[in-house]
Amino acid sequence: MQLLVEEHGDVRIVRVKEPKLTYPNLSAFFTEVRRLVEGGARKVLIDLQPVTYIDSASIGCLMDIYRLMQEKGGQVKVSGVQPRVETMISMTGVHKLIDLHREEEAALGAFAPKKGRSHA
Amino acid sequence: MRRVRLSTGFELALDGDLLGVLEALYREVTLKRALQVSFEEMMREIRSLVDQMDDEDRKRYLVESLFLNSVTYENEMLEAYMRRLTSPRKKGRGGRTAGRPAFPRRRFVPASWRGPPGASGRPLTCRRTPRRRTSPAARAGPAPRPAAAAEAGSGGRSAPAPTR
Repeated sequence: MQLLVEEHGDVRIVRVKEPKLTYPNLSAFFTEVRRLVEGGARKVLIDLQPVTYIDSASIGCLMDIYRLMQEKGGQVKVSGVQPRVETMISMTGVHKLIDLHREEEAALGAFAPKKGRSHA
Repeated sequence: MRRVRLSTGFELALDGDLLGVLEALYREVTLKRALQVSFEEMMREIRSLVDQMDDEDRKRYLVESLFLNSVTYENEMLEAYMRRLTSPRKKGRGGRTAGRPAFPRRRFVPASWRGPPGASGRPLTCRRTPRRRTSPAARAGPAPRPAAAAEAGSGGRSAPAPTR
């Protein structure tokens, strides 16, 4: 599977370079993300710009990454989401848990630290 | 890679893309019949697709389809449960409809699904025949004729009971 990992500040960007994210090429993808998280990354952005379809196994893999990041106290976001991918993610309800963005800038901006709430 | 052909002549590659099959059925069957596709027509098309698949393809698409349906069902059930928990109880409606919204909620329509030009974007639903509305007077049945009323009073056969 063709993957590219970049750094943008404290955010690790995992760029998927495949037109379809399906079961046969998931193992390399998940291994790479887990390696990043175990290496200390707590903000991971998955760029799916060239991806036009993800299957059930990939949706399960995204949920595994989400759980892994929750355990480690980190965040995962997805950018470059095309309409067909968005449809699959919306139909399965994953969009309620994982932040989706069409644009990479918006996704990177969403990683910004939240301001503390003032308790009245 | 195997390919299957729809009745419209459209060829579809069986690459495991379940959404591609759904899109092809929608575009080639539903839209080409101007949203007036019947249950039988759609079923005939789906059966034709499945007949052209080999066992491996059938297994792969069935697994994908069951996954998608099971997750959708799970989400619908959770959503309904949450709605029931959070909806306010209404006075005077303690029956089966208590707490339900007055209007049916909107069905889920993904942003990427677009209908034909001029379509409202609503998903296809089963067409129902409109319910006949009857006035209270019509429900009560025809008024008894004076002669029949007199017969009823004198021990004759009574007028038929009003039917709903």
